Amino acid sequence: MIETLVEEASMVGAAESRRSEAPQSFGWRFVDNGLRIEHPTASAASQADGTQVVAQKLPGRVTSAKVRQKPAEEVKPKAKWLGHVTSVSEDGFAATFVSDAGDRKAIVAEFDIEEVSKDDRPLLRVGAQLVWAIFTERRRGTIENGSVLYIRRIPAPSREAVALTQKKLDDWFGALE
Amino acid sequence: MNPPDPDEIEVSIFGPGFGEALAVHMGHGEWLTVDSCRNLAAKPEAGDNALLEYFDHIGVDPSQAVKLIVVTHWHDDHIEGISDILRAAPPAHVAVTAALGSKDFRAAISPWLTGPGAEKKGLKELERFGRAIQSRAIFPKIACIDKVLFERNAIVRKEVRALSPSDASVLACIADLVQIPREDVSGRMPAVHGNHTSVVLSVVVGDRKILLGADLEVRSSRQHGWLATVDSHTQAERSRYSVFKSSHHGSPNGDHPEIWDKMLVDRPNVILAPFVNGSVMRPQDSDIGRILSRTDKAWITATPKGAKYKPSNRAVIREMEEKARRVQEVPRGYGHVRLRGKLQDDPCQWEVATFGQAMELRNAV
Repeated sequence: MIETLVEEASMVGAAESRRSEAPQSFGWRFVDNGLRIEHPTASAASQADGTQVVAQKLPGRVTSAKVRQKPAEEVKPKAKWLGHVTSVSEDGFAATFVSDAGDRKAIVAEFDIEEVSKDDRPLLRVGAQLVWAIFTERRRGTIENGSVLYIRRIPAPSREAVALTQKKLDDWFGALE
Repeated sequence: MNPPDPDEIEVSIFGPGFGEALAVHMGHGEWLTVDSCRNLAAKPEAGDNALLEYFDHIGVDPSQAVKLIVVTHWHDDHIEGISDILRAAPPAHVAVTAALGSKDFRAAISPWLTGPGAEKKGLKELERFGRAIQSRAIFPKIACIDKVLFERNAIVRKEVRALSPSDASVLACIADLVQIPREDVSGRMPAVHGNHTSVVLSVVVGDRKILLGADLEVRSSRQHGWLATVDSHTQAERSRYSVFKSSHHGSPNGDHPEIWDKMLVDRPNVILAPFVNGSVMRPQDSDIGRILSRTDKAWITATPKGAKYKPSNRAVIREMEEKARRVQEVPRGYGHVRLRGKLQDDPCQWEVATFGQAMELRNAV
């Protein structure tokens, strides 16, 4: 369920991030004992039939994303890794990750190409930033393992912001020319 | 740990698996530092800069002792914490690679330095470095082939000379830089190919000669890379080096028979730090074999090999095994190799000490 939810929300996020140059807070994060979708214009609301709407009235082609399964009663984060793709082949890819726990652990992992959603595959290239999170979820008394692996959508900086950065660099290093 | 005696030369290399830094005692309390890395086994709040931690341990005050700071090239594994060293040694001269002086370079990296996620791209250090440079009274030197970066003639002759990059390499680097994509900056900034402008250093103190290979690579043209450095050395009829910091973490693209045949003594002392990033791990067994075919006196700061990742949580193990074809822990072993030799010994006998996970290179196979 969570994978579906995040995939669909990612699609929304991609559509949004291409439109705007302003930095946005988008993605998901673990809160006290659950997983929370964050998007400036998205809201989460449970409906009477058990469907959870995670986005409404969004600009662009995607206007809403619906999760077809009932949400888990409890989601517990177990590990979260932030990384980037180091190589891509026809049927797989490799990535390096650093633990988000602040313990400086780093891992290298190889995946089948199917492990990222179809929406993410066009973004799969060397340097693309990834998030891999592992969690357990409780549903009707049963505890299951789950994980999400997705590519971060990073909005392009504005021309003004880039020009400001270049001015700083020129101030610091221009005399070396 | 004790500091070296005033008449003692020291070459120390530090490496945490991803990173490399060197400290060279040129005698009489004068030090050269090359690049920077962190001791990942240390707590950041306690100060984890490999070189500053070492100076602290041996009771050396970097603000008095460090005379020259060299940044060989701007790659993540060589610059982490370099701004800390600049701040700790305000009077020291700084020498940097030519790339920073290129307007094209600055234009190319600006989009990557801007916006959310920039802090993840390893470029924040550039900002800290820039601020540290701006606040210094002495402006940095550009290191290039045959340029003397430090010189002393009192008591004993001391010289630090850049042996690269060649002029042709600097131009080639700028040509590469302008091709860095500027529109889509959603991933990590791509590496500029070839380590064109990496700064190889010659350190001469009296009769002692040390060659620090940085990450310079061999190119097919003699105008570029190691072959330009070898030719420059041969034309100047300089004598050979007895200590060699192997280039580019022992990679084949950082090695060439002419380096050994024309620049190094027979069976030199070789030191290196490993490089582990993604599926790239250097030196590989074949690299170690190649180096050991030239000398039996070689040391490495840590193992270059990864191990299967074994998290303590079973749920994490199961999910990782289900999701990924293979998961390996990136080795974060940290070590230090130290060579010390008396200035007056003839021939110079190097006393080698290893700390942390450092070992003889033959044991890393």
